[in-house]
Amino acid sequence: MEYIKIEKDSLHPLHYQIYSSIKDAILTKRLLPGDKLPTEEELCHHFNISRPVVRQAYNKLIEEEYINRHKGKGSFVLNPKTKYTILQSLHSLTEQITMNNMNPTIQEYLREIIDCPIELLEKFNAHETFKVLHVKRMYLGDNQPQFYIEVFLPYEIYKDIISKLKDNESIRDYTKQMPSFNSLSSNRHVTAIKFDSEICDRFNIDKNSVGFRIDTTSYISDGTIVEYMIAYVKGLGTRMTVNYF
Amino acid sequence: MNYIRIDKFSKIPLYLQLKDSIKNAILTGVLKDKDKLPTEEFIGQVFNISRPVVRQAYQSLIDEGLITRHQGKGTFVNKKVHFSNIFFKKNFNEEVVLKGFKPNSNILSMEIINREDVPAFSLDLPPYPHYYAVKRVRKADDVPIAYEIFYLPTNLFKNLDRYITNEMSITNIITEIYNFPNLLGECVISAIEVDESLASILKVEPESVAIKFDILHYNHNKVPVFFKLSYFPGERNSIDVEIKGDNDGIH
Repeated sequence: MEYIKIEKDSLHPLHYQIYSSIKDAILTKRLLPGDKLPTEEELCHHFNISRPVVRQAYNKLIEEEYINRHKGKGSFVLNPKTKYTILQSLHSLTEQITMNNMNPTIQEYLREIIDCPIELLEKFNAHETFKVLHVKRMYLGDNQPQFYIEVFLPYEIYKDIISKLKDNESIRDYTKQMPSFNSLSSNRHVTAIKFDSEICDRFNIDKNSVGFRIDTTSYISDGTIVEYMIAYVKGLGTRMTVNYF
Repeated sequence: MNYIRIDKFSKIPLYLQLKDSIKNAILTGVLKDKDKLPTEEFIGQVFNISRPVVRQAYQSLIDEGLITRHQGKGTFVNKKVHFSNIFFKKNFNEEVVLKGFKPNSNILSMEIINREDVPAFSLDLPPYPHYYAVKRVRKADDVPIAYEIFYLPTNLFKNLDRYITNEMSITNIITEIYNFPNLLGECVISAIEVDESLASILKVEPESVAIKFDILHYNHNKVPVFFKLSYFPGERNSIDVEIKGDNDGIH
């Protein structure tokens, strides 16, 4: 129970202190999915606090889907709750983060105009003189890295964006104002890979961590390819959901 | 190029004749992985057919994943054991045969376990106390493509052990013998690092990457029926989805 810290003189109510120390232990992976929590009774005895206080803390954790209670068995840590629907929806990454009840922010590392890399020319059905806007960004949720992306946008289409797009503005939120982008469609190609050191550094995770690489080609109704995006999602704690049949 | 047969008097379109000859050569092993195909020009000259016809045949083979084009280098046979979306396919064997491999399945074990021993995701499991845990490996040309563990409640699947064999399709057993047709699946996908025991089952290096699927199957009334865990070696599998945009501008 060493992960639970209680100060009786603190400004925070006791139930909040219990709640936040357990939540913190889960978020920092000191408690792992499936771990059993102390019973409410054990906590009462150990810290000499009342049952309703513990109950209130546990109920909040249950409500927020950090833990669940099995009748007669105790309370257990649930799997992390970030679930992304990128495999079946076109929501922007910012929206994906919002849907997980996190506050989305963006950190931009790079914005430049370059000649399209040779290996991508074919994706754009383009010739060698093709210019693209190249952007590298991290999308964060509650300040935790969620998606690291590298985007290639045809310069002809996005001439304005290089100066007008704000650092903290989702590219999608910007482009959806363009009339021709109403009926955007995407093909996503998903592979499981080991991240290289650049990506691990950006996520601040161990070297050689595993995760998904999602290559997305987006096109508008006349078939023009308007975006090629490589998104990285870390494996640990991230789930993608699909309904099928 | 004697694997290419073109009959100009045939009613079959030229591009299709060309495509089928090449496809057949790949599937029967006449052409092997990474073999270089003749250039479009060369084929056009030799068989006296137009460039767009050759192009159409090649494009169609590219779309089927049988060949790949490398800019500036040429077109190559693509016959590594690699599958796209095999997890979503109803008929694994058919899919494997389509790509020119020989499919097989091996049941590794089958036992009865307590509900609590079914892994954690399955909190919505049907409320039965005991489950059959059926483990099997699916292969293409003896290369493992998937390791699957089915968790089937003994109450719904009485005497399951009588039916499970390497030859029987588990899907057929579930849909036909136990009469659960048209189940729906709620699927959670994650990327994991493979531990040693999983590595030896999947025949990959330890610490390599796998795609893990947790699938809860339920019927049309949203009542859960069974749970399945699958592991797909990352180097042999990918997921491909096409998401069509509406005009409502969600994006």
